[in-house]
Amino acid sequence: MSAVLGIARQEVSTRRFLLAAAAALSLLAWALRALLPPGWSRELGQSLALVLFLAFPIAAAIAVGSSLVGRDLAEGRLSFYFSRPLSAGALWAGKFLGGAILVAGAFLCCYLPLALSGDGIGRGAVGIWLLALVGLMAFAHTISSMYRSGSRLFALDLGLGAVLATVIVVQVRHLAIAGAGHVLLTTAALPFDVAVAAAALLAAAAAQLAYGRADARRGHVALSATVWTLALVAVAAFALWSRWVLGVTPAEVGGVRYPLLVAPSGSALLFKGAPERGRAGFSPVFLMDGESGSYVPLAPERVTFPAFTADGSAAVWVAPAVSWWWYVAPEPARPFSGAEARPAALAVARLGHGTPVVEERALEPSDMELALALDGDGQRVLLSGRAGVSLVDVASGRRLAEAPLSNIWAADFLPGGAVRLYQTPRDGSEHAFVVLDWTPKDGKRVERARVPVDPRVFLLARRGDLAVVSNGMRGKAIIDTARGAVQRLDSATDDIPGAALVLSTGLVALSLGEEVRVVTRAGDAVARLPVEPRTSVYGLSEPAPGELAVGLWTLSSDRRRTVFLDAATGVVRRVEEGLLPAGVRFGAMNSEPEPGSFASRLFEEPSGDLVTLEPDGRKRRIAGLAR
Amino acid sequence: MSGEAVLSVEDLAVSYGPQTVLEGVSFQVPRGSVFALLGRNGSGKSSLVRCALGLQKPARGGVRLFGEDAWASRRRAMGRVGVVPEQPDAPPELTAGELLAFCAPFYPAWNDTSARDRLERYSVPPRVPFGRLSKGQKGAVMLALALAASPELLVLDDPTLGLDAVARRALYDELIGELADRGTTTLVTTHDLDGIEPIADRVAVLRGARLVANETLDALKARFRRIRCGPSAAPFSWEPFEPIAAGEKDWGREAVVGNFTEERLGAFRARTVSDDVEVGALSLEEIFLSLAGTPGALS
Amino acid sequence: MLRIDPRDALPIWKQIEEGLRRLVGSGSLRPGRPVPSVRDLARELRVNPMTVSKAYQRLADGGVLVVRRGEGTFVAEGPPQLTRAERARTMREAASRYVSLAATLGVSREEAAREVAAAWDGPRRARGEES
Repeated sequence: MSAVLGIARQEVSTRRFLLAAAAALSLLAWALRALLPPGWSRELGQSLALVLFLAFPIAAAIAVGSSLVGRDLAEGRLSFYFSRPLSAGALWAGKFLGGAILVAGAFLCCYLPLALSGDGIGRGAVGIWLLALVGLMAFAHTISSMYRSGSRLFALDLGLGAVLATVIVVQVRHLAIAGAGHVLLTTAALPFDVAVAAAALLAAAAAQLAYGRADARRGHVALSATVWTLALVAVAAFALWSRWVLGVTPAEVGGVRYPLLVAPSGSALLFKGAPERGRAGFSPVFLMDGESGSYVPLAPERVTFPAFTADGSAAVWVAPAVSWWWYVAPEPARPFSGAEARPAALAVARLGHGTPVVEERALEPSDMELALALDGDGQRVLLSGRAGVSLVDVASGRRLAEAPLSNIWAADFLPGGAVRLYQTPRDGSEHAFVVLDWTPKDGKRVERARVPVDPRVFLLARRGDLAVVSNGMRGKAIIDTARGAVQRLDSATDDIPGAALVLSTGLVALSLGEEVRVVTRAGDAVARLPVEPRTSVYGLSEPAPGELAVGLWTLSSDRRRTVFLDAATGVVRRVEEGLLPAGVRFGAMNSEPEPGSFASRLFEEPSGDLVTLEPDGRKRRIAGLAR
Repeated sequence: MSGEAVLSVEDLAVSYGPQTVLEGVSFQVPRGSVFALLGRNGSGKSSLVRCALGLQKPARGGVRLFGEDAWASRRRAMGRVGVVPEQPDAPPELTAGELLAFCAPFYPAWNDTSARDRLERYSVPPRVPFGRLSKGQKGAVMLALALAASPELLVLDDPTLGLDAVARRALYDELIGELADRGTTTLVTTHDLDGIEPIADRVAVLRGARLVANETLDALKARFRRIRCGPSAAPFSWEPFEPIAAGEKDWGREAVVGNFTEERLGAFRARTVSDDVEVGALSLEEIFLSLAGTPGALS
Repeated sequence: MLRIDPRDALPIWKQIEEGLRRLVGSGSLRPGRPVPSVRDLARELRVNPMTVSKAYQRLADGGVLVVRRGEGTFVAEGPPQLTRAERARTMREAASRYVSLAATLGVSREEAAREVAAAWDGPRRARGEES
């Protein structure tokens, strides 16, 4: 033990000028900051402190690391230690302990002015920095020893180093492209890797001294063998861990997070799971077939809101390009957040009863942000961008037509090739909700309805020629595009945005503050369901023709339930405690599902698990989501 | 010199890549003896010393130090060995005093006073960094460090290299004093044959990666002689001697032989007509030149 | 005084031994006087102390020197103190060795006796001249 301390003391005292320099510079930085009035000298002090904090410890780690053993190697002085009764382990421990003390001391000296002035980086970060500096010291030692041995092995080491770096980059890129790049920073992965790397290099140095003793070449052989063996193990472990992270299943994330999008027909689902349940905090966006449970994971930042065909056999969305090397970022990706005019491709998914298949096509127009609607065959898609809407051919990605229309809530393809757009245009001072039909072939636009509305307007539901919007704090409006008429309804209490549904029978159900009212298109009430105070209407769906499901959520008690009633009469058939209709929140963006379809019978439990309600009233869990 | 072998070299082989530096070298250093290992530059002496100290692993064979394998038991063995290397290898920033303080805890029988006395004797300033000392002073410090440990075995690798006459004499005096006081077993490699000749007990000579001599100095000097005889009529032969070198001069014939015995001299005298036969001794240097300098060395 | 020649065929310890015998025999080293310590003589002659030690040991065995523990090594007082019987046996053994040697060399009894007389007179004459 005294040997270790003796050697450590010798290494430190030989380089005490380093600590003196660090102390002097840090004192200067602190003095400039603290003692002088604000102005350029204080700024100078602050800058000096920052530069010091970043550059000096790194330079110190490299200088110390490369000279700890390197100088003795170069000048043939290792024999001094080995011809004494000193074990290789004690020599190793003493040298690297001394080096670590120097590096840590220099770092803490440089960090002190920042910490005292309140710009500290937190204890965890300090720990990681120290670890990284020790690792850098060990790395400098490794390179210096390999170089100074004069062996041709150095060329092989350089080659293997390049290979290792490439493999790591490939692995990180692989993670980042899948949307899991952040796990390296949010989990303990990064400090763990740094610690492992530092430990591996230190172990290699121990092998170098134990096996090589005073012989530089033999030491190099031991050093290289240890380094590359450990590197291989580490890389393999990293690859396995990455594979594990990326292999997260929908069942594991259990508890879908919004947005949850459901195809209007068929059983396709698109959702992101809860990050805290995923692996290492990673949860991709899952495109899943609800019937069979088979799924395909998608990188979250590459998914925006999809447009489905009416029969649910295909979906198309704008997939923004991601510079994968930016993507090792501290925040998990926000999916569906819009392309924000980045270069994008067109993602096309084929849905059916098996695993969904996703392909990408190059997108010719470059400023597309969101998919609005997909025609019946899935051949043409309407995309919105900053400058307006474009009709794009799905197969080729080429723009077929465009129109400078923006602020589009939703769109539908009409038989005959026209497109119906639901829009709140930003032209002039008037706020209006507009329904207009656009014929891409000739560019003709026909306004079907123009309804003056409050700036706080939301499209809640639409089906056929009826659309329902929420207007201001308490207003609702039913827009009949066939007759160009508007029926306004107001609630007694604030209800924004509320919920609405156009039933397959032509009736309209909507929340109006203290009740859910079923009305005809003219606004005449046919049924009412009272809603207690401080309970919000979570959503409305039509699980069977003519049956209305009303999801109610009392926030104070967190009581969730769905009331099933006959829409025409208002008679309550049953109440399911704990269930709420699922996938309805963004339902206005896609066409309304048919009653009885998978989408219309989808409900969620408080845990976030999804179930479908069978016609006989039984609940069936979604395959692949059950834990 | 009797007693067990402090150092035992067994069939040692060392190569650096394609170059074989030592091949099948075996010898023993008995306790209490002064063993001189001689050889030309590049003959493998330094490699042998490194293997003996457990600093280098041989390609084949091994070295036993105090009965244990030198490579495996290096740490234990070095507690009983004092090493003075060819190039002083102490850290240059430490002063002589700090070096003594650094080494002292490693050895149970450390004699600090004698070390400091030695440094004073050699006028080594104790507070000057090692790197700034003169060559002679550095050597003195290394010797002081080695002897302060009261070692059972002293290994001196070319200790007088680069020293002036004064420093050389001082070193031999120090060595003789140590031998007198403690009878330390000593292994010396050197080129200073005149200096080591009066001190060595056993001599080994390395040539061509092999040992071409390994015997007591007395025995070596007994069998290597210069023989002169006056001119004689032909036919003449040196038999039963096997001359290493022979020549004819104006005054007669001269030869260096490596297998001299009194019997052979008697036989030679009987065969030679001339009774003018002179036998002279050879210095260690001359013996070494015969062994290491000429082709076809005798064993 | 005492000189050793490394070039001499005679081993160094033998040179020291014979040199000291000569000095004692010629009277240069008087009986009872101390001889240099092993260490000092080794350093003076620049030879291995074991060599000196060996010579001293032989001289002590031969009665020329005497070691007094704690005091040092001294020239023996007078001739070695052997008993009459020991003296007789030592001389008899030496005589028989000498006679065997003479017989091997084919030397006659008379010639052998002449050699003994000559050797006896030599050192005596030298001592007589000096004293």
